[in-house]
Amino acid sequence: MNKAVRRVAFILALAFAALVAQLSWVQVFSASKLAENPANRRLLIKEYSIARGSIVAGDLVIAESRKTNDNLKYQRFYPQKALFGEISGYYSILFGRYGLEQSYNDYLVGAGPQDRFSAIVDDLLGRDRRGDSLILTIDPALQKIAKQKLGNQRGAAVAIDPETGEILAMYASPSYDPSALTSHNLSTVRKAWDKLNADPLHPLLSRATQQRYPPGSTFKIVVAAAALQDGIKPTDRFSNPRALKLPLTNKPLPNFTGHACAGGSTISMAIGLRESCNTTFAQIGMKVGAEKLNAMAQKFGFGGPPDGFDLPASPSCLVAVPGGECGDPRGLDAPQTAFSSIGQFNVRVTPLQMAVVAATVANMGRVPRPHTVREIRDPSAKVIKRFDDQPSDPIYSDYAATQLHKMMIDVVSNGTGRPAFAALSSDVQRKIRGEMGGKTGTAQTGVEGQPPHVWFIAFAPGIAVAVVVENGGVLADLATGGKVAGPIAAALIQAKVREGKS
Amino acid sequence: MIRRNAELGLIILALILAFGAYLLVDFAHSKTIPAGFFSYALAATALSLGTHLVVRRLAPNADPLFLPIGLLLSGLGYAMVRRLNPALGGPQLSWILLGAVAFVLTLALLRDARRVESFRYSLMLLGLALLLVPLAPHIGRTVSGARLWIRVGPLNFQPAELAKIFLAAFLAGYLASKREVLTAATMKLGPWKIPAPRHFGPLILAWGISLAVMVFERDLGSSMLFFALFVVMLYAATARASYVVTGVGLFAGGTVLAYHAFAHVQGRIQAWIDPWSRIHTSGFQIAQSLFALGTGGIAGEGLARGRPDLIQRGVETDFIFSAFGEELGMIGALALLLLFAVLVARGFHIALRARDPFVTLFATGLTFIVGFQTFLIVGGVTRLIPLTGITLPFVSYGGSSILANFVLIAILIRLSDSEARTA
Repeated sequence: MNKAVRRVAFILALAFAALVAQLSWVQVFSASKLAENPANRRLLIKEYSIARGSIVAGDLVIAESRKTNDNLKYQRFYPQKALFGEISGYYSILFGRYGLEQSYNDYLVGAGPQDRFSAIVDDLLGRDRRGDSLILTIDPALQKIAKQKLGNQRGAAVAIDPETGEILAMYASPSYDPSALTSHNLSTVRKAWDKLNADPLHPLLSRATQQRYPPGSTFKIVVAAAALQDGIKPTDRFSNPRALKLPLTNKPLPNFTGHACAGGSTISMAIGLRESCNTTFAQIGMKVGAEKLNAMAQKFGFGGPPDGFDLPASPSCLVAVPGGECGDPRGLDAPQTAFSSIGQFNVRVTPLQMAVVAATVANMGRVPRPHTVREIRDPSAKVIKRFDDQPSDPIYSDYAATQLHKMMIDVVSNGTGRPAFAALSSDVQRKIRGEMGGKTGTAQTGVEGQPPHVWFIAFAPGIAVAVVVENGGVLADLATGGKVAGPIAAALIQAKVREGKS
Repeated sequence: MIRRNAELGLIILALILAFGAYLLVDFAHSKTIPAGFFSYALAATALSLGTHLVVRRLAPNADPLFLPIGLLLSGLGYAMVRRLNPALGGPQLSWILLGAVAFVLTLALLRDARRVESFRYSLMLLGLALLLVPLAPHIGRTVSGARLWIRVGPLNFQPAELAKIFLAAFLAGYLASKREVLTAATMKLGPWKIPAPRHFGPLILAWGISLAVMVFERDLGSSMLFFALFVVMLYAATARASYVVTGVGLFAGGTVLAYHAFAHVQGRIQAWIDPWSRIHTSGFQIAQSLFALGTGGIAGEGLARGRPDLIQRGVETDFIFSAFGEELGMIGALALLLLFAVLVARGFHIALRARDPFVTLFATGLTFIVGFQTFLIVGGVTRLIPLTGITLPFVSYGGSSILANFVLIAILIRLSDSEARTA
């Protein structure tokens, strides 16, 4: 009988050995796969048990985590409501992370490369892990002005420090309150999400960084840069017809006014820019050629998101193709090149990119590296990372830099940009007279019966701005870049100049 | 008396571990010693020393490991049950106290284990009655799909837990007297000699009963345990492989039948094969259990620092092992398994040293119950085998389980004491 009992004992021993083997399989070999399985709610709970770092701009708290009583320990709040929606993004249990909440998630949860030690200390002491805080480059005063001036119009305003690349203001109108998406109640979040997506004004659209608009005449700055670099002088003269006859097509290229531009039978490039003369720039563009135009555009940052930018951004393109990428400029024929040179056809840009273009001219050809975070501070407020990117080397010659700078100032002093300068109060006008440059733009949307988008890009000491207002904003068909977008840009410049930091 | 002093030392160790577990649960969320700790410590110490003194007096030569392991497992189980659901802590502690009383009563009343042999048929009837009583109207209750509970006044009771002991006693008594007949091979089947077919009768009967339990009470765990107990004891008594072969064949056939006939059996097996594609339905619990174990990893999250509550239903009972695996890691889970392994090893030690066939068989049966039950539930929650809900002895929440397992080790202690004395 003992032999049989021994066998039973042996079988049970085997069974226990199998348990040990299975346990090792589950707890050692498959452990990380199981622990990181998306259906394992511990991940979410763990992340939400971290006192996520705040996002701060000036004296404003943009995002902060507050303790809750439910089983997710912290909930995210955005005290500024919609003012920073496009920048902060959201932190939602249902829709994940977006905006800065995504780009700097590692730091915000206290898992940045500099955080190893403090994370271990927090774990050992059984404290909630605390994340690092982001200090933004945004100037709250400018951000508020951008929102207020855009008002009920759809569009975006971007202000940048030309030298440092710090984004001073970036507002897309209309925006959204990210707090709506951070409830811990799934059905509340789902409802808020559905409502935002059903909104015909598309508040979730990142108009400043991801929406691509035809730039209209603001693109002439890029064309002028390519021309100057190619040896064309500001004084070089071009014919000045009422409408330009193009090769290969019967469709002429008209001027905005429908008349010839100022200056008689011929017109110089500088006057052409000052008066935003389409026929002049169509000729210049065709003379320079699509490839050189594209090369210059790429030097400004076209073709990809801006170098080192910390939010999702779309590439701006001389030849935009469906899907968000840029196409081959060699495919452009002469008339297409002509229309591209006045910022129509398939030229598509983000407001962010156009702010970089204005800043580059202000910088004498050095392209700034735009970013929205100035520094990262650990929970004890010690700065652990600072972003002080230098602008690039000049992308065109000193001669081109000086001339282009002068030409843009002339637009504001004597040309289509005058309404923007007029919108400044007289004390500010006195301070920056002859130092503010700009360019208007009125871009056909290509949709019949839809008023054009209006643009103004500008620079003044310490600031460069791009403003776009969709479909002419409040003025609709009567709008021009100078009249509608110009005053918004002027308000931002005025606030910056009055702060006197420049 | 060396054995008893060893037992005392081990009990003190067990108490220290149980107190440590209790305190760690509270220290995870506060820095002070919880108010209830001292009364708990007092009760636990009194209970442990009390049972120890009773063993010292009534079974002085017994194996010194059973009681400390039983106390340690129930102490750790209590800490975990209280951690998972504070409201269940009080009842679980009361059941442990009642279990200790039942332990003492068993030792006091059962002075000579061999007397059980003469009650074997009454025990069989009692065992079968207990196994089947949940089917009776009015007192039987269905909990999460399984009808394995009865309600007596305010108490819910799972009679199958006690039934297994009575059935082991019956089988030991029956087989000890009939084993010669059952062993004698009188028939030839091809190259094999097998016992006469009528001796397979009881096997078929046991199979039928366990199928009935599975079908009507939907209690897969008890059904498996009961049938395996029967086959193993038959084999232990006769050493005839033909019983095992027949038993495994019947089991396999029964499983195939049940798989096709019953949705709940099908669900369990599908959830075992692939829990991931049915993670929101039948695979939910097993997937959650694996998440708990995987998150725990080697070292664990720390007591009361994990989220085994995410397993939701059954975490204090069927899935308590996964909770240990998450919070104490593989190290803690293996330590628990080791405790069961030692318990089982000591049980077989009694069986192998005994001169009386009844004692051998009874010890084998009881030991097998503990070992196989552990295998069933730990294998189930780690996805080694399909999940058949059954308690983890001493550890899971539940009065009948605690009570039955204290009685079970009391009997093992009695068997070991009497064998040591006659040796």
